[in-house]
Amino acid sequence: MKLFKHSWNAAIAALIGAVSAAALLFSFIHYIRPFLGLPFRDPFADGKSNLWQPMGGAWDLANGTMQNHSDEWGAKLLAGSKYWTDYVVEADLEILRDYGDAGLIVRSNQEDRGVDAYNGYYVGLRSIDDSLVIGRADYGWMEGRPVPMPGGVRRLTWYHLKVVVQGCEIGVAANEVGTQNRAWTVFQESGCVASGRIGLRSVATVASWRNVKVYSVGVPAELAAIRRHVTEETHPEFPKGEAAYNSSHTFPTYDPKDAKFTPEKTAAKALPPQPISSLNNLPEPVSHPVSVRGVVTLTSPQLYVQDVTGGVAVAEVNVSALGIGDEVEITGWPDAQPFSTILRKADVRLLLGRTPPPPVSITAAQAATGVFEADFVETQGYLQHIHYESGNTIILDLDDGSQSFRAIVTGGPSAALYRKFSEQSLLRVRGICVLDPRFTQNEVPFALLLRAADDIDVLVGPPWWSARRFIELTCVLLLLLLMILFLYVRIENWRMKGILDERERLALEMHDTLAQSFAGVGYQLQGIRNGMRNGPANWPTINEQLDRACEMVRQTHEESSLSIAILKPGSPEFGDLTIAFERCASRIAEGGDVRVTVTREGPIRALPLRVTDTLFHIGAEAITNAIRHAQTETVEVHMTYETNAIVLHVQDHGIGFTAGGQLRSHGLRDMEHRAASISADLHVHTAPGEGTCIEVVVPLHSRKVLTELVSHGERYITRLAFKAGQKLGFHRR
Amino acid sequence: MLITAVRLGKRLAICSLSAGTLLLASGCARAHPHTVAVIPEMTAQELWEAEHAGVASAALGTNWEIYWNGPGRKDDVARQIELVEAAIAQRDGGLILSPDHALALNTLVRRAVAQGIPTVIVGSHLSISPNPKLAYILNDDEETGRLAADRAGETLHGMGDVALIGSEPGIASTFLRTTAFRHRLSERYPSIHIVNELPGSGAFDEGLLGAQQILERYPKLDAIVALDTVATRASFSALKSHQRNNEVKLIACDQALDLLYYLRKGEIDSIIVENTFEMGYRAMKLINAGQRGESILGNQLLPPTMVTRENVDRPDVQRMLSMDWRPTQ
Repeated sequence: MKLFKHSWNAAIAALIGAVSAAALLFSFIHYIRPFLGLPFRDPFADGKSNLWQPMGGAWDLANGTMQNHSDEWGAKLLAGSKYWTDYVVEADLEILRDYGDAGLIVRSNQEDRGVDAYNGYYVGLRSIDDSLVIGRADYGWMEGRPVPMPGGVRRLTWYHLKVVVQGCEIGVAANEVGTQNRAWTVFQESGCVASGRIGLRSVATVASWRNVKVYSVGVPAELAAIRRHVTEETHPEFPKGEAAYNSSHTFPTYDPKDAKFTPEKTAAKALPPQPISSLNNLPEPVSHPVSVRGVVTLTSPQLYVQDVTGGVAVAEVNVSALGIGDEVEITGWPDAQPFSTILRKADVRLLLGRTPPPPVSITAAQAATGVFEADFVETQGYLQHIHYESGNTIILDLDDGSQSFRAIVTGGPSAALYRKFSEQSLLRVRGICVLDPRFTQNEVPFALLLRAADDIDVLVGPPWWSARRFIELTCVLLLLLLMILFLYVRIENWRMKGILDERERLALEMHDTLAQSFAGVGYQLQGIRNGMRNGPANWPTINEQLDRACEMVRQTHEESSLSIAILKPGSPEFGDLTIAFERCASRIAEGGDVRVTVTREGPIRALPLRVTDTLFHIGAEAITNAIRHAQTETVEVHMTYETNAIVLHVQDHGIGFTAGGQLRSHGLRDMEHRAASISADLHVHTAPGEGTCIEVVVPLHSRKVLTELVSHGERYITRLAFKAGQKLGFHRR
Repeated sequence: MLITAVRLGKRLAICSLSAGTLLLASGCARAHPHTVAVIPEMTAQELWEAEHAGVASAALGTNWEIYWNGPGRKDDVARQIELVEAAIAQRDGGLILSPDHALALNTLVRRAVAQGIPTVIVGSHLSISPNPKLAYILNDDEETGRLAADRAGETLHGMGDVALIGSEPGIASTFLRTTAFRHRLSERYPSIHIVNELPGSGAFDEGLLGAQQILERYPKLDAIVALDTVATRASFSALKSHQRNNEVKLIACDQALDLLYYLRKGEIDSIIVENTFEMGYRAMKLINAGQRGESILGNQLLPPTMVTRENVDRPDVQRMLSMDWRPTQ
């Protein structure tokens, strides 16, 4: 019991310690987290960038800039921490079309692919109405009042954006790099988003960003500097009503005098375009350039264009303003290669923005034939290995059973994205099919040039069973088994210790009761024998001695029966101590004038075996003392079953005694010792002439289940002890 | 000792299995019964943002959570399929879908209905019959065509030459509009002639070139009927380039904020507006009913409204054009 109590206290102390440590750690993290990772800077140099997560778009690192080569609406590239609260983010940006907008996202959370599929704020430059825009997105868009950008928002022009977020205010400063064209705005929203990541975003245009940096120093001063240029704050209020939007916004002119609305193909074409497949049948040597018309399917590492007849690679051309899906007209010199033709020294004329063509689904064997060279295709294979090469190039080695091939991604924003693909998983990949040895290294028949991580789908995950997994599982199981064995041995040791302790206690009990009684009986019988040896039999004396011996045997038998009944789980005395006290009291008081009343208060509870036994012996001792020494007419025994304790009162109205001092009898000491063994408190209230009250308070755990568990455990041990006792001959049924 | 170890091991295995089963069951049981996925043809378009506002208005005061997301391109069917698949996998409480394609979404819609997700199709029809878990709320495209014909007849006083721009044979809505327009003209305005039908392309530049060619070919053209917003913008720009905005009446279909601006300026004659706000509003009400176990079987055709400079500020017209997805009342 003591061991259990100490263990329980230790567990509570450990729990309090753990909770305190967790609270300290939480406080530390809470206050330090908004600054983790700041200042943040990405110059997009060396083609390296592992920090960004794309959501849509076709992102590419080139010449120290991050470019989105897709005119998808709402393509995003995210970075940073969702715990960043107040900070400044700056970047340069360039829009490469006459329409659309591009800018920065701040305090972003819950992002997904989609135009307004995030919860945060967007600040950008919109070319269709030449304005600086700011608004709140939450899977919907609410815009603040746009601010006209002096000089307009023109393509192929660099602008610098500075966005300051503090509290629920966002200050923005925009300027055209190298000019005095500037605009400012301050946006305020009650119930704003309190923290979130940063990002790059574009809508319906190809765009570039560079020199992105985020810092948290000097935020109030930066916001104050912007506020000085702003007379009125704006709020997320558009669009609500069409009439309100109409009165506060400007709209595109659709005026052909505006270069944004002048289509490029008004000039007469120099050469009529021909089908791309016809490039493979040109007579050599080629004496004049050719013209083809198609849709851009890839811009990096090389430009690929495709029409309904096939695809072609275009070399030595500036692709910065081109996006995937653009319809272009290309005039260049064909250069025949083993499996296809490349157009060199090409002029590219942008015609339209279109949706990129869907890939043609083929097998790896079909791709290996070269028929689909330069075409946008889709195939599948099992991932064998991923290589991370220099220049942010990632190569996936795949095998579909009959063919090995490669999927290559270059210049993507984050190599970490590809680490989620496990070896031996079945992947479907989309990209431009090439047989060029520059990509295949002559190790595989073909390679696919992918545009982004979105071009990879996991069809089937890796098989769960592998040699490594088997070894890991075996180790885990062995470890588990060792732990179980360790715990078992410990439990066995505890159990054996409990058994041994109980045996020792029972042995002492038996010594104090049975052994003493047998000694007494033996003494009487010895007395009878000595008397008979030393002279003629004195029958009255012999009878008296025999009577005493029989009386001692009878009393011992009753005592031991009662003790055994206390220890037997099925007996009434075990379940209800008051029955045991009644039997004990009637035995002791038999033939006398003392009246003993036994009462109980509260519902009976299952008690641990040791508590029952010890409490019984304390009570029996107290009753015996009261009947034999107190010179009282009545003895009251009262048991109270409380929630957290058992209280035993043995009260007499006799002569009392002086507590403490030399009259501290062996019986009292024995009661104190027994009470201490079950962590009970023993109180003796007595005074000469005022009777005596023995009070025992036994604390119990409030959880009934725990008490009963301990009770069950102890009964199990007791059964074992009985069996042990039987074998040793201590107890006869 | 070995036997006891085996017993202990058995008990441990049973406990782990029970815990794992419970965890798995809790994972499988994860669903979003109070989320309605609203997937338009494309987001950030006034036509569909009005639907968003209608759904939000109907959901006001309820515990419905609206998930609004759509493709970033008009014909990005693959993305729309991904979104519908996600809604089905998460077992959302309802699905409001404006399909980008008449066939590609059929399988997924059947699957959603089979899983008991109340589904309302808004805008374009699918080849699935309505049932207790599937309803349609569509624009009456034939009425759009008839209204365009009536407006042409009214403004041209019953005679003149008209060009039709933006018809796409593969798109049911433009096909219905074109057919109804032609039929109405032949019925009531036989002196109005359709001189040219230019197919739509979805690309402004291409539409602009086509419209300019029509203007050059027909110098006495009286009106252009543009069947979608791209065709309207292209036609408007072509008229400006030829400085014929005042001569040629431009009758547009489907609303956009910039087009309404020019309507107010008198540079566009009229816009036939789809009531996508009301479609969204009714769709959300049906989802609510479907969640309560009621049948939502039905096919509703909502009539469009002819919006002119004179009636654009009418309260019912402004409600139709509202894009307020965060309503407070």
